[in-house]
Amino acid sequence: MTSLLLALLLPALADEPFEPPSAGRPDNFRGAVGLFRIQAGARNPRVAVNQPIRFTVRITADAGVPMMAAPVRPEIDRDPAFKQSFHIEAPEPDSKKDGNVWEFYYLLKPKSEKVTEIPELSFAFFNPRFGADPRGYQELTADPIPITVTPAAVELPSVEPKGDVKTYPETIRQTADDEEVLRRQHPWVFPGGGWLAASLLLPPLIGLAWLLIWRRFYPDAARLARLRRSRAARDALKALQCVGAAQQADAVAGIIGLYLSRRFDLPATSPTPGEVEAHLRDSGLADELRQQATALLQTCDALRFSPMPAADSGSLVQAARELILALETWTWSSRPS
Amino acid sequence: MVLAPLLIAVLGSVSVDDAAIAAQARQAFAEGLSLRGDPVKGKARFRTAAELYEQLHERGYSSAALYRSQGNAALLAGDLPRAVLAYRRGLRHAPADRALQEGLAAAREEVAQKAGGLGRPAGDDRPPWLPHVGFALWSFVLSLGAYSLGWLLLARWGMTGRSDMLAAGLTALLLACAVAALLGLATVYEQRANAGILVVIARNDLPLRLGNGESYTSRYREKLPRGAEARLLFRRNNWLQIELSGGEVGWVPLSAVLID
Repeated sequence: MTSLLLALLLPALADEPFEPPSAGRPDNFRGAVGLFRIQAGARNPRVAVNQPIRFTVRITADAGVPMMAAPVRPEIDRDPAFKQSFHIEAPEPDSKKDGNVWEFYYLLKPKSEKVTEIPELSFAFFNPRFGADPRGYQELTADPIPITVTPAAVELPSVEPKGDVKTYPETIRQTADDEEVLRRQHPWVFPGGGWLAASLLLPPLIGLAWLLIWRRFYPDAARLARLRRSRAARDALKALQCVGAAQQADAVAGIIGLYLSRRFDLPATSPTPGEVEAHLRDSGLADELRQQATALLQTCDALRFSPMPAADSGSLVQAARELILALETWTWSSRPS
Repeated sequence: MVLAPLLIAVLGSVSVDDAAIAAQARQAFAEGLSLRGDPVKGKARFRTAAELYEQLHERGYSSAALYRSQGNAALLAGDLPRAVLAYRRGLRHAPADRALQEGLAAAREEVAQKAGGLGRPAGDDRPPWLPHVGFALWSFVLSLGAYSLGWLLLARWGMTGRSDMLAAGLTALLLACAVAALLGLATVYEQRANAGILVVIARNDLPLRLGNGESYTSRYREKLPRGAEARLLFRRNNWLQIELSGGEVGWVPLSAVLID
């Protein structure tokens, strides 16, 4: 009964827009509503590689069923089976309509000799006699078409010079090893703004952090760094590092005497403690430092000329180092700005 | 001979089929070289080698070595368009590759011989002292390393006060900046040369039309030679609007070109 009603009503509805049901719609349905047949054919089934085959798809609408939406051009360029085997182009014109027959034309260029057929082509449509019933969706398939693909035709040169006189560089006659050829590389892309900014900012920040951490752990070393600018202090400190256990008092006294003569213009290189005190007083040196220097030299003299065994070696050298540091610090801090 | 593709496949995580294709291409190329006395047969073997390399490209392989080999095979087969396309692809991977540059120069020379005023290869407008070396990963890392070293040396100078640290740090920074500036400038020229999608004319005496159809007339009396290079501007169905190196713009059919 329903079918009879539809059969009576459909002609009247032929001009009305008809929306097929969404349920059960095939993926390759492109809107054709009616009853159709599909045929496919190739004009020249024997071609060379990359030569075109004229492929025609003919879709015919059945006159007994009202056609409510015409078929559109099948998108074989989206079909993986076609894409894998052919380069697909469209000739001009690419289609023709004659009454209830639609013809769509394609140029298929086989990619290699291994292509042996034009794949089957499916076409989906909806038969309006089914109304809203999803069983109205139907799919027809055009059979695959066997083809023969021959090797690519050799293009004979129009003018053949005497022999091969083209003097190409030697590199043209070389080919790479298989391992080098079979690689999947991508051209390197310069990093974007964020990465570039990080690359530029990170090194100075790391350097600054290193400097700050180092100064926190070695505060005196900063002073030592400034001291190294003073050559006299540099040489004296270096000499103190080399002082051995034997005759240490002699060595320390000599080093301090030389340092004082270079740094404070002390006339004598082996001054007595009294000469040192007098000169340093005249130089305007702070009392505490003057006394420290004098005391160190007196200790050295006592050890040098005393019949008693020498004192612990480490304390004299350390005392000399501290004296030099203190004198340099006083000197740098009292420099006019 | 049979073991080589298998070994390459096993060691290089490459399918046996792909390794066999590479081996066949190399063999076809070698056969082409051996047929110097018979140019027709020799060119056929070179053409086979070029097509096999193209198959590898379509299977996703991409390297300067692949495109150098393909370009050489195509050039020796007399297929200028495919040679130009292959060399340009290879130079994107390795701008400083001398073999690729020589191959492209040889192909362009042949194109220029056939070209009138239209479709002549673009001239190289880069300064002569600027090398064909853009930024690569190794040069970027090297510049960054020198830059970082410079800053670390300056930090060390801050700790020790030693003048040699200061000198070394400043030298490293200046060197890094100079190298980066040079490579950056070279990269700008390379990117400018490779801007847009490359189109290579594959048919000889191709008219550059005013519109997208055979009914449109040719824009110029001269025709485009095979191997002429252009940049894709627009595509409409099976017609392409392209721009030549001289700035000329027009339409050509898709079937008459190679597109990168």
